[in-house]
Amino acid sequence: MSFFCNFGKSKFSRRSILRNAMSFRTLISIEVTDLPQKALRWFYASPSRFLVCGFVAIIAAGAALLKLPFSVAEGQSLSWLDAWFTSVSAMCVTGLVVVDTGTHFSIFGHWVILTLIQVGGLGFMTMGTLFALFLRRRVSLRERLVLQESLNQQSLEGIVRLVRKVIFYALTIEAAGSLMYTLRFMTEMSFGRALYFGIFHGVSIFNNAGFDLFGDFRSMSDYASDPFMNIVSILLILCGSLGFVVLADLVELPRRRRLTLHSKVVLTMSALLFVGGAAVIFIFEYTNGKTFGRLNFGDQLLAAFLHSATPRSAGVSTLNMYDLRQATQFFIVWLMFIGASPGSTGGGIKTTSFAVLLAAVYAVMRGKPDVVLFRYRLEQGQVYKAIMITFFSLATVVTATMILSVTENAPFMSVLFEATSAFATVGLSMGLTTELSPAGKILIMLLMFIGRIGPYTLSFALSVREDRMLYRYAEGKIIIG
Amino acid sequence: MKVAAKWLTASPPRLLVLGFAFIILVGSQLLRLPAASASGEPMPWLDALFTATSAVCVTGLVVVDTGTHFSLFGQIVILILIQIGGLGFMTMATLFAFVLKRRISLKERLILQEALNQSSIEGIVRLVRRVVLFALVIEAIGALLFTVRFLFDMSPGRAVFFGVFHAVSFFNNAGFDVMGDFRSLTEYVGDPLVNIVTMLLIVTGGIGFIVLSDLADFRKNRRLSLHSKVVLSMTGFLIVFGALVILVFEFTNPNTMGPLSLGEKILSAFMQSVSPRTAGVNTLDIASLRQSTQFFIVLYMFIGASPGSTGGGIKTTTFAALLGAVRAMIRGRQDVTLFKYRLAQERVYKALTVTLLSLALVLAATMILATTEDHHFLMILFEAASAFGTVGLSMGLTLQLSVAGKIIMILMMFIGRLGPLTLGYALGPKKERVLYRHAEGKIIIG
Repeated sequence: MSFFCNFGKSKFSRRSILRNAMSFRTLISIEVTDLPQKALRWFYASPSRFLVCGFVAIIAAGAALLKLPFSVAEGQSLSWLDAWFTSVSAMCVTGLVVVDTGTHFSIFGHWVILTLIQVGGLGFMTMGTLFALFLRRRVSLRERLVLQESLNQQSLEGIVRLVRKVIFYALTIEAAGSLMYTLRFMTEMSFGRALYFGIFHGVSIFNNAGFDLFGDFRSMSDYASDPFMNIVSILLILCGSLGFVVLADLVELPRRRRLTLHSKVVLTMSALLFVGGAAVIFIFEYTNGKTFGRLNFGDQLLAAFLHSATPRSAGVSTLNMYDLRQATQFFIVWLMFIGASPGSTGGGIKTTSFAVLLAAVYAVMRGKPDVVLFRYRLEQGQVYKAIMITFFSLATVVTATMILSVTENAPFMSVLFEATSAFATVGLSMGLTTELSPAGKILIMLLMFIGRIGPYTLSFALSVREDRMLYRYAEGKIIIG
Repeated sequence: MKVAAKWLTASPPRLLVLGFAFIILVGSQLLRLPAASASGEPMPWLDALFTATSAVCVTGLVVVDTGTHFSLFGQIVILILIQIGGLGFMTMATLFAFVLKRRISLKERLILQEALNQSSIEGIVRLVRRVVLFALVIEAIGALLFTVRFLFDMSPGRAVFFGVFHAVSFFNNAGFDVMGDFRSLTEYVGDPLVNIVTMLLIVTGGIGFIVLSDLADFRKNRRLSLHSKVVLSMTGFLIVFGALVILVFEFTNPNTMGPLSLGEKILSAFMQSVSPRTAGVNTLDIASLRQSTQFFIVLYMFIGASPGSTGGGIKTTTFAALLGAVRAMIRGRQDVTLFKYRLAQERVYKALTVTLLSLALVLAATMILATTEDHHFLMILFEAASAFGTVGLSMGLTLQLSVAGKIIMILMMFIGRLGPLTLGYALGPKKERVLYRHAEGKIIIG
């Protein structure tokens, strides 16, 4: 509730809804003809369908643009399948690439990719936030939008204002990141090129896409010892992965002096995963000659922190994933699976789902009836939802891994890594992406799409439905464990 | 008797853990005797401990070949360890489960029984006797059938020993064999009698005493308990589904099913589908299977057998409860239902907890083994899942384990055997007076 007040003084507040409801009859006949309202009407009929169709349309447009002859660099060509793959990867802000972004595409191609990343990242962040906000009320989205659309210009404006706020936040952070990168790149290249590189990487990394222009699939490996580059990247990744809801909450913090439960959970889990992940990676890789061996102590710390941040779910790297120890690779698979936070540009099952699972296990172990986080009790429905999303995701990744290990002739770890990376829209790879068979490419594309849209629509579908219980079955017992 | 009962009252899981540890230690000392090995050389201490743990936890992972390395005495020691481990566990698990079926706690129940009622203790004794009877009868039938089959291949004395050893080993889901050269049952891949008897032994051992007893009473009662329905339908589904998947994945693999006839292919598909839950015998070479099949078997080993049985894993009922929860969510229902019965929320949470802790354990062990052993990831994952599920299938890593790796595997077998049960028990109905509840808060999921 308190969270809601942040945005808006209540364009969404209960009082305004009541007022609207009261005037419903008198205003029902007003004709609505303008375009945004038509879009809204379609949106409220089925927001999930809207999301899926919108994404597919933009991906198709992106693939067509990338297929244009002047999208690729001179002397290069791009098959339809690779164009689709790149478009899906950009739109789902994943970063898995079948051709090297820096050398294979022309400037025009780069701009197409950049636009797809921006549209995908922002679009998703906005939609995610809208979904999340609506989910915070007992009233269903459909009812709410029926009210808003037919009666209340103000509410529509509220949504527009929210969208504008999300975009404003994103652009500000991207601009700051781009500026930093540009300053850094100016030391090695011409101003124009530095600015171009700065903007591309600022946008790509904030949106947790992980596309880069450095060439030869190197990602940021040339900058392994550069504290400035690493810290800017880590900050951009983290800002992008916290989600708009938390960012807005943080901005309001000096004024309101308290955080919502959601923000507390997200911030704590993110910090825990970030620091814990860095510690584990540092320990596992400390004696690995191929990765940490060539770095000094400070650089090792930087690399550990960057690779703890990047699986959630950016996909830039300074070390070669293939050279990491198996234990580290497997650990990164789990970090990728957990992913970012809700309403952000990242994927995965989300930090909050993971927190709820931990809290549920803790409650059961202690024999407590309630699942509690920060002295707030979680509704049973939310716990089930977290369980549901986790098992759905696990089942998807496991099935995809199994199919990929039939279609691809590669070590199991590479396949598992690739599938998880695609599902969580991360973009890290042990090198399998470029060697994928056509069937494998199609599967990875589907996985990226499902990974991007799945948890959201699932979460949404699970909350809107209100089931009238006409009867309950008697309680039965089975033996567990 | 009364002292033992009093001690059991205080903490049944502790009794179970200490009892198992004690038997393992005694077993490892016996296996170290020169008389236990075929060559007369005492085996290394760690290998003896590994073998004893593997036998008592009815796993079947072996660091030396059971058939050729041990003398007859050594093999009989292993057989006894398997029997004690399997029966002891089945009895304890059944006791736990029966007590859990009541609202009253084990402690209260046993205090009552001990202090007041002689016949209740007799009731427990009778229950134990019934478990032992069931097990021995099934093992005897299996041994007889195996002996008849082995008479074709070997001398009568040897056939009887082989028959008894394998029947006990397979019913207890141990997976030890004395065929030699780590071959398991690969020689009998096309033999319907051996395969079908083996599968029946594994399945009856794996569905648990409660279900067996329910089935035995079926003609009288004319109905099954919810527990039995869930166990039987999950077991049936997993066997058929697994056989189908394995058949599809392996059909064209020249190293496994390729050379076999269609009938043999189907037989071996069923065998390889039954064995991971959680016996550990194999008729196909596990290391030669396709990656996708190996990964699929890892999942089956993780799910494992049913509660109150000789098998390990998270158990079929746990898996069923999770599936039920997912189905309830998809349909937007508030209650998790199985066969028109509602499951209490605490039970669903318990299933979740057992699954997540088991998953965390297997993953942690895999990660540690990946640092101590220099092998393919899938091989390591397979080994860790096999030890946790007390299965005994291996892609060949067991023989090459480092010292640290062996110790981790010993711990995994032990935890895998006792963990879910004691966890299930510890998480049982705990009566807690709730003095306050926190306010409800909301976070965004997914």
